[in-house]
Amino acid sequence: MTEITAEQFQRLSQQIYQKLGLHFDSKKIYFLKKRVEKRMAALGIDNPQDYIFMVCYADGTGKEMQALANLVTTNETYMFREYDQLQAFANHCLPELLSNKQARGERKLRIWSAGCSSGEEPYTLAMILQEVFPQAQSWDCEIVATDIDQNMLAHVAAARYGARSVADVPDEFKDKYLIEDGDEWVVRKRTTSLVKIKHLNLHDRAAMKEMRGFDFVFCRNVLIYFDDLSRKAVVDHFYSSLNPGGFIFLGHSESVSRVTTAFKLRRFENHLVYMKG
Amino acid sequence: MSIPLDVIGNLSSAEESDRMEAAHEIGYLNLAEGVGILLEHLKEEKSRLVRSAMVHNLIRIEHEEAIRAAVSLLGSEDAQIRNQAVEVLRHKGSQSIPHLLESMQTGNSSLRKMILDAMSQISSTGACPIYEIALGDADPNVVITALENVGVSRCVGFQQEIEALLSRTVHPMMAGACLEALSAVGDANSLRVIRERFPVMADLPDFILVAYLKAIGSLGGSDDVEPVGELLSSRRPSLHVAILNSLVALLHRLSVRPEGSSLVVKLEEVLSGGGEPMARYLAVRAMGFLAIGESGLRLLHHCLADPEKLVRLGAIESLRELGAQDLPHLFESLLATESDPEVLQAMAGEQISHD
Repeated sequence: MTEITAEQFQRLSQQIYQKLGLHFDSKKIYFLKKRVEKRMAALGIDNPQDYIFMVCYADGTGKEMQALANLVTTNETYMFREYDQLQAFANHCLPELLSNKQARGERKLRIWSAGCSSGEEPYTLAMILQEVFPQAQSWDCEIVATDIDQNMLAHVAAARYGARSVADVPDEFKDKYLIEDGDEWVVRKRTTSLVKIKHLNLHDRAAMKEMRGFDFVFCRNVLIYFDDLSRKAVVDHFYSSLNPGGFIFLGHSESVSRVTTAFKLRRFENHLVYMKG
Repeated sequence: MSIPLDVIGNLSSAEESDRMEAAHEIGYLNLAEGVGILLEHLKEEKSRLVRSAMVHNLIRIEHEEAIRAAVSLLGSEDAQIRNQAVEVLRHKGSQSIPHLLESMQTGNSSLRKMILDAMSQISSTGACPIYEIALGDADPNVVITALENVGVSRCVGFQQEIEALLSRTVHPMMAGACLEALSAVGDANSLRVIRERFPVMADLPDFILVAYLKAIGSLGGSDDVEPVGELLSSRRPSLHVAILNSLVALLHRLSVRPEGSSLVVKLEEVLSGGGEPMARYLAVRAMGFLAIGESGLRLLHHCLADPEKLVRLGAIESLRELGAQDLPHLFESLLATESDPEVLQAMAGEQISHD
């Protein structure tokens, strides 16, 4: 099989960015190369130039891009995933927003975890909220966890997780917010009480129109599986669902600005976040 | 069926989200009349977000009116709308071509460039007439854009025309675009034309050299290995990635490993120079395709402990490529000190799997 050159890597990265909104920098050349080689082997293609041409011009249904997407993303979800983003949320966005609300005399906070899967993300957000904002219990705070998959929502309701899901939870958080039960961990009631579970299909426009008044939207590593049109429609819905000054978080390698220029880009130290102006 | 009046009414709502939703609704209804309605409201719409939704939803409307509308928007004064119109036309694919061809024949140079932007993601034999016109355009920027497209979409039918253009052009950017296009659509004859036009590689200015190296990487042979490698010493470090890219592409196509001791010295300088990770990675990878002897192998072993992950990964790949002896034992001894999961996976030689 012919070696993928750095230039071909750039071309492919551009195409993946255009189609999926995922960003791969040059440090990911090995990562992407191995996955492309796997796809090439599956398709019986020897020359990366042929594969790139196919992906750019002969993948009308997006099937190959989807197959590649499945390889370059991991479906595994766990608590405190993409820690950098959560730091931006906890250390900058949340305090700023809460401070602004307090100044306006508002005592309501709503967060949306869209495509929550088995619940690790909404419960992570709940833990962070309680840690950063202990007054959460006396405010009207709600984390709405939505997913299309009813089985997943059952997992969220059970709030019971294995070691892999909690491996990245800081020890002090484990002590405060989780209860060890054999080889599983259960989220404490006062944390689960912040999370409201709701069945929702992101493609359901009528249902999406009902989602309003949020201060944060988290939709990480979900939209990569959508086509361009659907992705834009969903992000437009997210924009409408947010209060002014609200923040949206997609996956750390996903690009909001590629989908829409509606959000304002802000920098907090090393973090870049998107805000509804 | 026609578009409900309340949906049309919402396009004039005071609420931005209502107007945006109405634009999406009209897109989903997929009716030809929706095009005119969207265009009409587009003229007065102040919100960038809503304008974006209006243009974007032309993609959903599967009627020729949507394509004509997108073509007309290529001439918009609003850059965002122009760019979105390009996106719409790309989505429409080969259906756009007859309309784009018509505009190519009548539009100004800005419009012609926008048309080529749209064409950059459309591959079709029907595109050839558009490129014919573009390659003969009076505006060099139009020609350059066409050359880029032809290369990327591998329209091999234009090879001779591009070779002729390279031979006669004095416009440096056009020459560069010709070289890049030929690296995708060219053959041995193209290489001959390239060498005639630029007989001394070492004398080329940087911006031409980069394109030249791409062409050599695609079309060159074993005789080009040493001259390309020589550039690592004679040119600025900022060109190392381009040089090494060309070198790796060349080496990979050779059936016999060239003797590499002199080149290894240069590659080692790149490695120890502390330059960008990609250059160091490529330097290590190049070694995997050379007959590097014991000293080269020792260097690769040394790279297995480099602080830069890409260098370690490149060394693993190259050692495998060389069929270095006792690899499993070598990697096993490193397992205790390696913590990066990707490097560990590369050492184990595991298949990439997806849970």
